[in-house]
Amino acid sequence: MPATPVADAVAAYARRSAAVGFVAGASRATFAVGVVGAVGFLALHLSGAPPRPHPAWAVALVPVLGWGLWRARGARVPDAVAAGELDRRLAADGLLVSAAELGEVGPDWHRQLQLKLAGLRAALPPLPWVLWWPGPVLAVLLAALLGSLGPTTVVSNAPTSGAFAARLADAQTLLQAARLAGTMAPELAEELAGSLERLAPMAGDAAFAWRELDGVLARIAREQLLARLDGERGTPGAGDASAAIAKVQELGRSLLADPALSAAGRQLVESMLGGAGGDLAAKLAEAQRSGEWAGRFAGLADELLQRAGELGLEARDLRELGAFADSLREQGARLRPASGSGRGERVVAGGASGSPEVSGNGPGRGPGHVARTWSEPVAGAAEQALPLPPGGAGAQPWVPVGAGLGAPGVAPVAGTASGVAPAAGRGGASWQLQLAPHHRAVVQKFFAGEPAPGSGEGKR
Amino acid sequence: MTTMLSASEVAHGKALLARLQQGCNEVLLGQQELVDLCVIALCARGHVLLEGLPGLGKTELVKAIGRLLGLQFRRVQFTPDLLPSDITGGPILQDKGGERTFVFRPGPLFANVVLADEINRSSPKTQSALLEAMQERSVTVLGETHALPRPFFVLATQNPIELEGTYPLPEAQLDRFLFKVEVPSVSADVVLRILTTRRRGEPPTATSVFAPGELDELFRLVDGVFLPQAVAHWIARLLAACDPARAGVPEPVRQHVRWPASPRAAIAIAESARAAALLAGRPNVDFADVQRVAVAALAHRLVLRHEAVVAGVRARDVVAAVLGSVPMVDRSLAEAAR
Repeated sequence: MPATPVADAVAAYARRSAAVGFVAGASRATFAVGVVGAVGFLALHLSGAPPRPHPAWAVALVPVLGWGLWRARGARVPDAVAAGELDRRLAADGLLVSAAELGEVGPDWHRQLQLKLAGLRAALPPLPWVLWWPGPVLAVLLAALLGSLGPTTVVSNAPTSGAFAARLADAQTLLQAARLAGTMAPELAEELAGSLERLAPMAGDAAFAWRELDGVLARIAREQLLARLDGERGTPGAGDASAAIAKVQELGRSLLADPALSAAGRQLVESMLGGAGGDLAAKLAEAQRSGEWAGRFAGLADELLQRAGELGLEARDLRELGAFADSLREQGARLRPASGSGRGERVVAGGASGSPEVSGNGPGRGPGHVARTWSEPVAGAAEQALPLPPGGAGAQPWVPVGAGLGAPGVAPVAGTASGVAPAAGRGGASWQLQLAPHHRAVVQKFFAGEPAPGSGEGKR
Repeated sequence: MTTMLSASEVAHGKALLARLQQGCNEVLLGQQELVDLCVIALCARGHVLLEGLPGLGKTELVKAIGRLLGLQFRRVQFTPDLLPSDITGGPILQDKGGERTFVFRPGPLFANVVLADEINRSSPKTQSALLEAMQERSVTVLGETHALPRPFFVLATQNPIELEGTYPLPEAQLDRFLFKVEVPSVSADVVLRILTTRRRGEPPTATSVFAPGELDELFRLVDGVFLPQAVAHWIARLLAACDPARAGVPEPVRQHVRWPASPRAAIAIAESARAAALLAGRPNVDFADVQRVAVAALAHRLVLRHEAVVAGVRARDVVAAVLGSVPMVDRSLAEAAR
């Protein structure tokens, strides 16, 4: 096409079309790069490593320019197409396309065409600058967001292997301390130690490892809490029992060492001490577990006092022995109302404890029928809120002891006669039920009008 | 080398056309668009089929055109018993000096402007007698071809509602018509003008508006209108978009069109667009000229599916959809221009 006003106008339109394509493509690429950059910048910031300006960031211009040039190439229109488009935009009624094709349209039409071309600038497609807006807006929003976050605002709570190892070490330390203090049953301590050994190689990669570790910590904390509550209530502990055993053994050994001890007294003491004292220690340990050790020791001390003549004890020994028996009786009397496990009010199976408050359970209720014993609520015991161990989940009251296939085996319980309390140790312990305080009044009211056991009448 | 008409030539052609327009509008009141299309068709030397209800002035318009052009005008009332020889003419036995010979006697077709009134009332064989005359501008009888006078126009009318005893024009016959124009009804104002200006509805007597040679000059000017390649490309793409067998055609075409228009339709559009451009005072064809004549030149050439016809789909709506969906300037124009 020769250089004529029409050709220049057509070329200008073609250039503007390419420019529009470039701006549109670059704008969209800018927005896309901005979004990707914002996400990456935010991710790095949240991970604690905020990026710093670097000249290498200029690489982001490559996709912008590349996509813009690609779109410009696609948007560039041939001259014939540009002439047609421009003819329509100028409302030239086909005169411009005719002129572009013929080259010369005659002077009359040329003047008319010049008038049309005067509006060429307005007829060119505008550059879509509005497409640039999302990029700067996104940048401003990103800056505002990062400014509000601050330099060290967000710390990840995600568990890491270091945190898991530290928590595991804490659990092992607590477990070892509980073992040394004797506040945890050896079987339970072994089980928890096994769990910790199993958790050691997991390194906290899985959520279930954290849950199991929290469970172990909760059980350790629970055992420590129960031991502390037992100590506060004065429940016989291992330390008290050991002291009592040592006291009795020391007393027995001093009697045996006394040459003035008669032969009968020596035989009595030796029978009580079991020779080397191991038998006595075993008996005392059993008495300790049953919660009646204070009474047993008091009885032993009384028996020694009664046979003081046979033993040939001196007045000092008698006084010491008497004071020891008194202290044991006093302690036993103080602990008797909380005999048993001592953790809350219970309906204690009749015959299991042999308590004098045993009452009947109405007419016979078939196999497993046992009498009830109403104990008094213990203030600050089971219903007292147990503080959660720090940083751990709630204490698990139920701990699985095993799993197996098939129905669980049930020890058969022999049927008892109506109104007759079953013998202790024959299923009576299975009736040890925990009652919530608001249930207690209901149960008491239900059995309030029952006749004495063995009368054969009562509510059903 | 192709040149464009000068401004004076265009003005002269526009003035000639304006005279014809004015004459037609004096005869037929309130039908400017119809008159324009008829004038365009005549300038493009094409035949026109007027379709409309009785009493709308179709016949009067054709008669007025014949008189306004100052050409020989014949009217043929098509009836069911009309035979081909009744319109083409035939040999008759003549006695000249004791020697009897067959002499060809021309029929009513041998005129410049032929009004084929109620053309769909004649039998197909009579309708078919017009095929050669309309396309070749000649008549062949008993192996002897007789040229029709130039220019030769067939202006036919048909009634779309009285179908009893009629024979619809076959597609080949329809294709011979440059335009098929539906004559619209007139408004109340036009009826009032008819009542107040004309006794018994008789139009004023039209006289020729052209001096000898001016019609040929008009035809020369129409031929000189330049058709840009961009516009021609659009016409070609419009025709391609009417073919349901092609990919990417508009949805109405794919659904309703059974057979597309022939290339004769593109020729008709181009020639009539030239006349429309001259009527608009332009030395070249514009996209608007194509839009103006496309429906009249294309709609009757599309064969719709039977279900579309039953559903009331009109071919002019399909053409309008094509006009709206095919871009005027397309990138493929660049390849076509090489």
